[in-house]
This record gives sequence, structure tokens and C-alpha cells, in this order.
Amino acid sequence: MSFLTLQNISKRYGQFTAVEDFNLSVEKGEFVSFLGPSGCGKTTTLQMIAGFEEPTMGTIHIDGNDMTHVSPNARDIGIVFQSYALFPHMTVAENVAFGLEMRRINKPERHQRVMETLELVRLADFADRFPKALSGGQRQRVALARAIVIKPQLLLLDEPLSALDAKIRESMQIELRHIQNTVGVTTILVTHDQAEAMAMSDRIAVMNMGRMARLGEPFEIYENPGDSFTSNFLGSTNLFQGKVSSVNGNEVSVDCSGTEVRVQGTSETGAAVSVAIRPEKIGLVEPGLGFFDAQVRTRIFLGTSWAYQMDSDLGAFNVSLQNTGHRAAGEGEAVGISWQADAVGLLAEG
Amino acid sequence: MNKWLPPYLLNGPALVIFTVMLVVPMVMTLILSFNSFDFYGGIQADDYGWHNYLEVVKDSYFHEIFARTYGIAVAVTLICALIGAPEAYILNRMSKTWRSVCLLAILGPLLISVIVRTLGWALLIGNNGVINEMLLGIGLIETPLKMMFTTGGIVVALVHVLVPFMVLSVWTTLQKLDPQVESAALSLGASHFVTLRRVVLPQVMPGVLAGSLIVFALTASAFATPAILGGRRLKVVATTAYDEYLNTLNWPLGAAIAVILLIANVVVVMSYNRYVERKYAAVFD
Ligand SMILES: Nc1ncnc2c1ncn2[C@@H]1O[C@H](COP(=O)(O)OP(=O)(O)OP(=O)(O)O)[C@@H](O)[C@H]1O
Ligand SMILES: [Mg+2]
Repeated sequence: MSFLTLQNISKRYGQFTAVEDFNLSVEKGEFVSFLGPSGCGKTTTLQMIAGFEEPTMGTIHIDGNDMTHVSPNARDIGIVFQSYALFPHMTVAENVAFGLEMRRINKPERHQRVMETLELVRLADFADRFPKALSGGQRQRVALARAIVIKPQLLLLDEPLSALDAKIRESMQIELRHIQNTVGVTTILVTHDQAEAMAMSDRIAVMNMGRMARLGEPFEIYENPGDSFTSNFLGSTNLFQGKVSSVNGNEVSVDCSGTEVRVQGTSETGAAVSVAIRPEKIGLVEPGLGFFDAQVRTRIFLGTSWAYQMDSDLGAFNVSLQNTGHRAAGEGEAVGISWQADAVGLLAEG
Repeated sequence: MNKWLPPYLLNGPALVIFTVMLVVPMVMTLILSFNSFDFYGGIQADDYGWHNYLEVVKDSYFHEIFARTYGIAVAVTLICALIGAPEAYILNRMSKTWRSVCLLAILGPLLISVIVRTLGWALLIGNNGVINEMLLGIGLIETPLKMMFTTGGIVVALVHVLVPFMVLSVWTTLQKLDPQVESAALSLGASHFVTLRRVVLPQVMPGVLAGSLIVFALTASAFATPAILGGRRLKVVATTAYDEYLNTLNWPLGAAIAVILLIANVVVVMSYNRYVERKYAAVFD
């Protein structure tokens, strides 16, 4: 049996349904991210796991025990809140020691574990400071230390990195993943940043409007998003709308505004579908040599890559090209568009 | 034009009022307190000295009055803190409608004239008052309880009117608390009571201390309530000064008492404030 199981969880506020029929099983030591747009119910789900909200329906099991109606202080869960929620009147060391005190751990051991954990988050020199005198990144690490020092069965992180700037965030992501590996605690991370979810998780649960849209390993759901919401939410995707003109075994021909596009998949002739391709999987060739021609509308240099916006008979779309040190096609030029056969996906229209 | 002039001009009216209404009478009181007084000749115009102050400092009669005044002030402050802080916490957790209703009830005493309110208390706690009549009626007591003209009566009536200052002061600090901090304490295994004691209370302490300051200062200089509920014999400093002025007609002594009260209050309030600021400077902004 899985370590954490959410079964048919729903949460209603009056008429409004914040979370609906949510199912998830998390293995021990696994790192799972909840990813979704603002208001999709990520925090609500996390609060139900933590015990601050009670589900309207469904059950929550942790390590085989029914925890659905157990109060938060009896769940043995470490939480890092979005606002960090440090105790402002306690020093860093006192903050971290609080959970151990509640567990009646004697002073010498308490001190030792606090210092070990502060060492782990590289804050040992700040033990006697008050939270007020810390930077955002340091506060975040105190919050993390406070949550992991109690060696919880489960660690919940609610957008812990959202207040940090891009550089610190990246290093904190690596650090957080490293700490999670070291401690080996089962972790759930809430985020609306897809890159963060990709970088850190064993599995990602993509949420949309209170429901789970897709669950899987980062690479798997990036490559096979399954629906256009997930596809668009995980990085950007170009969608060409069209109608299936013929089906030939495993290969479908789609008529996109007069251009024939071949895709692997199954469908029926006449069905309305979308052909999806990620910007980085499109290649530029000489005009006339590709599947169709397009014209460069704008070109932006991003350092590691070029970002193109293209115009074509199929509509506007984006291309992202690695910067290989050669001069790339300029604005206004005509180019041919090509891709590997397995780079395109077929999404049912809906 | 001089760049300092406009601010002074703008402040002019307020400065004039402040000077005429506050500074002048204070200085006059200060001068008066050094005048000597003779029962037959009245105030001796050119005879100045420390004797009024010496009289207050030496006479055990005045010691008792000062001790009583500050005893009442400390008691009222403590009781206000004990009642007001939990009251504010509960208020903060109420739904909007109930909060408005309760806030009105709490602020109610401030809307009523101090004389009317105190006479109300006199009706309630007097020997023939409502409480005594009731207790006598149901046979719980045989002689009326003495509540009027006691320090206890004064303390109760003062708490009644001053507790709103404590509630408002604590409530403002409570509103600045991050509710997630309480959740954090719970998630770390603390019970609700421990959360309240270890996490909420220390954070609202600055509010409690600020409220205490207001309550203490207002109690130490309170006049109407002790005058009505304390009667002629149970005096506090403010009523003693009043009696010296109006009954004994010894204005210089009354002035000296008033000046000592003022200085004592300023010293207490300032050192307390200094202490609070130093204590919390490292913790809160
Ligand atoms: N107490 C409440 N009463 C009514 N509706 C609520 C309540 N709490 C949350 N909601 C609603 O439930 C939905 C989900 O909220 P939730 O906080 O879980 O979103 P989220 O996915 O965490 O979003 P974000 O990324 O912005 O934090 C939102 O539409 C929100 O308005
Ligand atoms: Mg949220």
C-alpha cells in the first residue's frame, strides 16, 4: 500500500467546488509536485492533507492510518508555508527547536539536532538571529529546517520558493532536492511554476479547476501531455487545428488549412483535432524543402537560444532554436518548416 | 522667503492654543507650588520655597494617598490586561456581524459621560443598591456588603471604562499577526493552548504593554470616578489636590501635589516605554 493515499477527495465552499474527486497515491520517499494555474485548488488539497481543512468527501490515509479527521497537531507533518510563517519573537535556533520541544525531546539532543539541521541548510552561523534580520532566502531555509528537524513522515511545501528571485530560486531548488534526498522524506510541493515542478519532482500532478488533469513523471507528461491544457501548461506548445482527412493504420493525415500534416495516433476521418508540436522540436530548412513554408515575423536572441515568431498559412506559431554559434534566419526571411515524424502529437479537440 | 517660516506660520494657531491653554497654566501651577501659604493671610506673594514639597514628602498622610493611587493604577492595569487581551483575541476570531455588535458593547462605556456612568455604578453597588438588595432579598447575606466607598469599588468602575483602550490596543496587534504562524505551531505538534501561550501571546505582548501604558496613566490621574465612589475619606492624589484647592483653599499645596503626580506619571510612563522599546527592538519592526 502507498504511503499517502487520497481517495475521492472533494472540497466544497458552499456552492463552489474547490477540489473535486481527487485521487493520488504517493510512495514513501517520493517527491510529488502539484502543478496548476492560480485558483485550481492546490493549496486547498495541501491544507486537507495537513488537516487545516476538512474534506467534504473522501478519505486521506497516511501510512495505512485513516487521517481524514485527525487534528493537524497529531499528524506528524512538516509544513513550509508560502509566507514562511516563522515565529517572529523567537531566534532562528528557537524556531527550529520548537517542534522538538513539543515532542519533549531533552535539551542536549534538541540542541544537537537543531545545529545539525541548521548545518544542513547552511544557517549555523545565524542561529541567534531573529527572523526580522534575515533575507528572504534565509527565512525560507529556516522554515525548511523547522519543518524537517522533527523528522516528519511527510513534508508539505506550499510555493516555498515563489518569493525568491530567479537566481536564488534555482539554487534553492537544487538545495531542496538535495536535502530531500538526504533526509529521504516523502514530499509534496505545490507550485505554479512548471520549470520548478519539472526540475524537482519524481512525479507531477497537473491540476486544472479542482481536478487532476494529468499525473506522471516529468519527462513522460512533457512528451505525452494527453490534453491541450496540460500540453500548454507544461512549456509552450503550438497547436494547429484541422480535420482528419484520412486514417492509415497508425498514421493519421490531418488537413490544417489546406496543408497536409501526418501524425502518429488514432482517430476517425472527419474528426476535428489539433496537431501539437513544441517550439524546440521544429527545425528550419531552405524554403520549399520543408513540410510547408513560413515567414519570420520576429526574432529574439535569448543567449542559449533564438525565439522566433512565424507566420504561415496554418496560422502563427513559435520556434525555439538552439544557438549553435551560426547566424540564424533573420526577420522577414522565408524559411521551410520541418520536424521529426515523432515530434508531433495528436490532441482531440475539446 | 525663509524656508523655515511657512511651517511655523502653519503651526501658529495650534501653537498659540497649546501655549495659552496648556503651557501657561502649567507654568503658573509650577510657580504656585513654590509659594508659601498662611491660614490667615492666604498666599504669600513673594515668599518661595520647597516647603510644600517637603510637607508632601514627609507626611505619612500623603504617602498613604500616593500608595493608594498607584495601587489602584497597578490593579486596574493588571485586570484590564487580564480581561482585555482574551477579549481582543475572541473579538478577532468572530464573524463580522458579531464583531460589530460586541465592539459596540465594549466601546459603550466611552460613549457615556463619566459622571453618569459612575453614578450608575453607585446605584449598583451602594448599600441600598441593586446588588445588595438582591442578595438580601434571596437571603444570601444578612447585612449589606460594603462595596461603595471602597478601593475595590473604584477599581471595578475604572476597569469598566478603561478596558476598551486595552482591547483596541491588543486588537490592532492581533490584526497584524499572520494566521499561518498559528497553523505552523499546530503543525509542529503544539496544542491550541500551547500555541496561544507560546506563539500568540508573545506576539501581542507589545499591544498589551502599550494598552497598559494608556490604562495606567489614565487611572493614576483619574478624578471623577474616585471622587464619587471613594467619597470624602477614601482619597486618591487627584481628589486630594482638588480638596486642597477648594476646601482648604491651600492652593500652593494643591499645586505641589499636582506637580508631583505629573512628574511621577511622566517618570513611570517614560521608563516603562523605554523598557518596552528596548525589549522588542530586536524582534519587531
Ligand atoms: N475559504 C474559502 N471559501 C471559499 N472559497 C475558497 C476558500 N478557500 C479557497 N477558495 C477557493 O477555492 C479555489 C482554490 O483555492 P486554492 O487556494 O486551493 O488555489 P491555489 O491552487 O492554491 O491557487 P494559488 O496558486 O493562487 O495559490 C479558489 O477559487 C478559491 O477562491
Ligand atoms: Mg495557493
